[in-house]
Amino acid sequence: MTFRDLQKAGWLTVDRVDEAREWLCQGREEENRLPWVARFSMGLGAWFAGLFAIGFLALLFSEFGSVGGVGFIVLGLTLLGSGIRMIRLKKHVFLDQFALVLSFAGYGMASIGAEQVWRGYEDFLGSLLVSLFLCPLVYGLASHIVLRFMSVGWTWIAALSLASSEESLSVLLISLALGLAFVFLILSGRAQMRTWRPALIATLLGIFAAMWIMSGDFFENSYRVPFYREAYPVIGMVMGLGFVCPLWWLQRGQGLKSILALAVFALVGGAIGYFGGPGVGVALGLMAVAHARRDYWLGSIAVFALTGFMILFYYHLGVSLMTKSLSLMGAGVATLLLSFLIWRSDKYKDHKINSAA
Amino acid sequence: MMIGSERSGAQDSAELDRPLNRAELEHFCRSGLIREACRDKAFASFRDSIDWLLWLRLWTGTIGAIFLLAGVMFFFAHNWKGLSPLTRFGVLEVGLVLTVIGAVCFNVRATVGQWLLVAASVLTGVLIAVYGQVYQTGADAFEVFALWSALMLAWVVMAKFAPLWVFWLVIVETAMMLFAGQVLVPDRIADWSQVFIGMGLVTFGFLALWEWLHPKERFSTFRQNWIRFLLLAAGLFWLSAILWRWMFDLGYQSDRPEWSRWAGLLFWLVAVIGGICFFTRLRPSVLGMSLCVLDAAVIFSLMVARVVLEDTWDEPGGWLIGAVFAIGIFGGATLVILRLAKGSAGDEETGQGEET
Repeated sequence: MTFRDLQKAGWLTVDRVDEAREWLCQGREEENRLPWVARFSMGLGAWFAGLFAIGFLALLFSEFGSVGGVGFIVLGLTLLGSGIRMIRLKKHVFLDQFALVLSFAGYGMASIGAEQVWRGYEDFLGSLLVSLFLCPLVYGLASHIVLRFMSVGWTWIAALSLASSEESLSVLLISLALGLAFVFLILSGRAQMRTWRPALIATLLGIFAAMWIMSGDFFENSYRVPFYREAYPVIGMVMGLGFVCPLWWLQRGQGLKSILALAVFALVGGAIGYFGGPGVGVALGLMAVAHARRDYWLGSIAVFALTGFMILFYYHLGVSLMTKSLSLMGAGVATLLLSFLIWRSDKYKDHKINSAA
Repeated sequence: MMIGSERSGAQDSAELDRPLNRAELEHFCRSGLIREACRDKAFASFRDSIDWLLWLRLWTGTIGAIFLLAGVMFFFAHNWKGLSPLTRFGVLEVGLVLTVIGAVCFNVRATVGQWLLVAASVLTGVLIAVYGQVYQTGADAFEVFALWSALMLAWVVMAKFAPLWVFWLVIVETAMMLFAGQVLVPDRIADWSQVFIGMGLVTFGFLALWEWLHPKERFSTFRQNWIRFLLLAAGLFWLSAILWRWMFDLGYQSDRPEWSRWAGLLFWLVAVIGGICFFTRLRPSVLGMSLCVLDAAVIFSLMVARVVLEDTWDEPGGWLIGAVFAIGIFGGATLVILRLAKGSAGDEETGQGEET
């Protein structure tokens, strides 16, 4: 379905067709103005230079004697504020790059300061609190996509660091629950995608990072028992099912067949999550949602995640090669059979004929 | 350079003819650009336009084939003692013959036939490995990979199938790396810098071959941009590895000649500058050009970090210089990308990433 199809069907509000066309073309214009590779370059540069800047400031202030946690927080907030102000000016690429580095260094310094203030409590708790406080502020004040991505990314890094260092199941569960709720909110179409895309991608990467930590640790636990051992199957199942929820929302009202297909998909996703492949379940769910939304960016992320988690799952699976081999061959034959049945189905043939026509 | 560009009529027209995604439809509804009475119809029409059967078939087929082949490989990797050599060869050879016959029956240029040839190629490798295992031939690993690549070459040429082509290339490069690790470097015929130069040249040679072949109608199946990025990224990786090793003194042998590192630097410079020129002027590709620019930015930043922080890592001045250089280098890289992208706006890869 294209814009012209909407126009031909007469579904567009008559006196606002030009406005709709303008909005659609504006997306392309924005992409031409700052292509995603350029944004990636700026983001990468911000991390590189930001780490140097943090090193410089930390050493500088340690040379002049400690300024204390509050001093670092004030310095960090000043840098961040300057960065955001500079970005709003939108003058030049170098200034943008400099502003991103200032913001990154600001986040870093504020986190270091907060860690000093909260010293004696959990590691990374200060960073998490600062990130939670700054994230909505930065997101609201700065419209720069890289900065928005960075603000959510920092929060995830702090939350997962806290969960891992303190072996805190509650932090992990709360992070994942909030992440899942946010993903549902965006993917079910309740919020403007162009505004929330950086937050969505950062959240998805955060969820995948959490799944990665869990999947990697769970199988090779020879030296310690992971803190999420008890909750692992439940988390896996909930995450697998959680990504089916937006799919259900998008496909609702499609009739009994659709509900049945969705139920089978949910069963597969939940079972995969429960039996040790939470990342695989999440990636499969995201792949389906991305397809239902015709979102190629999300689809690509999901395919990469699926590949990584499949390798991780089979690499760490604590069974003999023979069992791995048989289970892989069995799953392979079953999915190939399914593929063959779809190919042979009348509906598929009709569909191909219609597409060709 | 100010960030900004003009919009062309052709791009606008293309924008109106591409399939909408759900986010765009949601925006139209939310802002009242679609009449309220028609919103449900618009969403229903969008849902109907999603091709679930094709999607399911594609992914069940792909995942199923990967599972099955991985299962077969694990089966033989297990070195199953209970299986007699005759049975091992029997199972593999029957599988091989069946996949080849299947490929011929389906036609080696059809999708199913091409994937069956991929399966046959994997089975060939397993067969060679099992042969070595049963008869204890004492063959080096590189010989196994070299023989494997030689045996499947005919299928690669016949099928004209991009994934098979790339798979073959991976096997060839693995054979080369193993040969270097088992013969060239231990026997002091070459050092790793020379090996990486060789790997880079071979990879860029294949990239040149791809760039030459894919515009021809006979090789239209190769017109897939991911091959270009894969080859370019691999080629840059090999040449950049020389510089990483140089910068961080990895595996440095003081008795080996210095010229190979300088030669590596020269080849890397030629690859980066040549890549930028090629993907800007001859075959406009924002992604291809950006890969070269970003590789250069990362290498230069690491180089500055290495030089500045070598003896003064605990002094703030060095870190400040590093930060300033990194801002300059990455700002410059972004500037170059924007400037070159502006020249080729409207090219198929400048889109929002969907087309790639």
